[in-house]
Amino acid sequence: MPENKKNPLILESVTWRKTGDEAVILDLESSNYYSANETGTFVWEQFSAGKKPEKIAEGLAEEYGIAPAQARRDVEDFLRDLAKFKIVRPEAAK
Amino acid sequence: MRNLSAGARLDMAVLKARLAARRPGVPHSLFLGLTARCDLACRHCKYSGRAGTKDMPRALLRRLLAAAARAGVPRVVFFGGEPLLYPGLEEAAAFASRLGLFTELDTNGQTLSPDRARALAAAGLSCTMISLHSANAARHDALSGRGSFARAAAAIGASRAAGLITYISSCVFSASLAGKELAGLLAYARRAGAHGARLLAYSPPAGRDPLPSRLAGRLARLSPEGYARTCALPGGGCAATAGDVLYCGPGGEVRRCPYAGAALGNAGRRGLAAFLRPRPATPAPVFPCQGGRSLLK
Repeated sequence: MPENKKNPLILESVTWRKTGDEAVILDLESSNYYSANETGTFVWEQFSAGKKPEKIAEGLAEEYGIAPAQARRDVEDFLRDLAKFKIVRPEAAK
Repeated sequence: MRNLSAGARLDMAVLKARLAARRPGVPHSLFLGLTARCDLACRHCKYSGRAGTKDMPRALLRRLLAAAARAGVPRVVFFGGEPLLYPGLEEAAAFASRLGLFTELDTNGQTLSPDRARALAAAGLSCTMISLHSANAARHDALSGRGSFARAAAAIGASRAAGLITYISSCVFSASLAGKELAGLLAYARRAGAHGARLLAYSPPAGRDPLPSRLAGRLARLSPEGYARTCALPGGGCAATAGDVLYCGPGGEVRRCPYAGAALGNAGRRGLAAFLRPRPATPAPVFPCQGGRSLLK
């Protein structure tokens, strides 16, 4: 079953599903899909649940043992990619 | 694809993502012969009248599904016999779906009522392939029995109404390749709202036949956009010789495809992983469904 969206920064036309460690995110309007790797899926799950990027970065740093600054960059880059693919609203990447 | 639910479109997206991530030696489709039983006795069927009544043990089915998911097989096809007769089909679809597998039902559609289609969709089934051998009811019924066309046509409607991705599946003979039969069948499938058509060339009981390659060539002209597909590849060989499909029967016996003559071994005893490795190519245009060997032990 498709996952429900809780974050209003995710576009209405977007649905997604986690299978194994990976999430597939689909824009029903364009039919484009985005396949996230394990860390991308971690970020996406938190973001779609409504968490702020700073909190997600903290969780990412803790979960994967990476430097906080690197985790922040990873989250920002990921959200920028999603904004580019029109999965999230542009303000999500700011 | 037209008129698909959000869930079905997401199923397709997940399938595409998993197909793109597939490793060498891993087939894109694992056919699972859930039962040798069938409620039809089609004249062209190689199983008809020869198969036993054995169903795949549920524990084996769960092991195979889990192994397929672990190996990165994107799609499983519930096959028969007639898989709608398999007890626990909905449970199998739900289990496979939870594992992230794209689940397909290859059925004659005779008992696919609207309620059953909705129950299967709710369980997690993604797609149906419904046997329809001609757009002409009398010709279809001559192969599959009186009234079978009407029931298959109703099943197409039930499948679509349940939000399932719906294909027709047809066995093609030399005679139907020559005339307008094939074009008529595809036109019917489109009118009925099927999302695509899978056409399989009839393999003779003995000897070799170039029909699969001829069918692939004909489809390239009739359906250049890919609405209708077959298992033979345009450059020679087929999905089975390319290692893109694998079949496991009710007793665990593994073949290159459901119609292949030779068995490769038994996944119940050796595990599915033993068969998920790159295999040596079979010289084209040898098709494993041809050659006159018995399909069943």
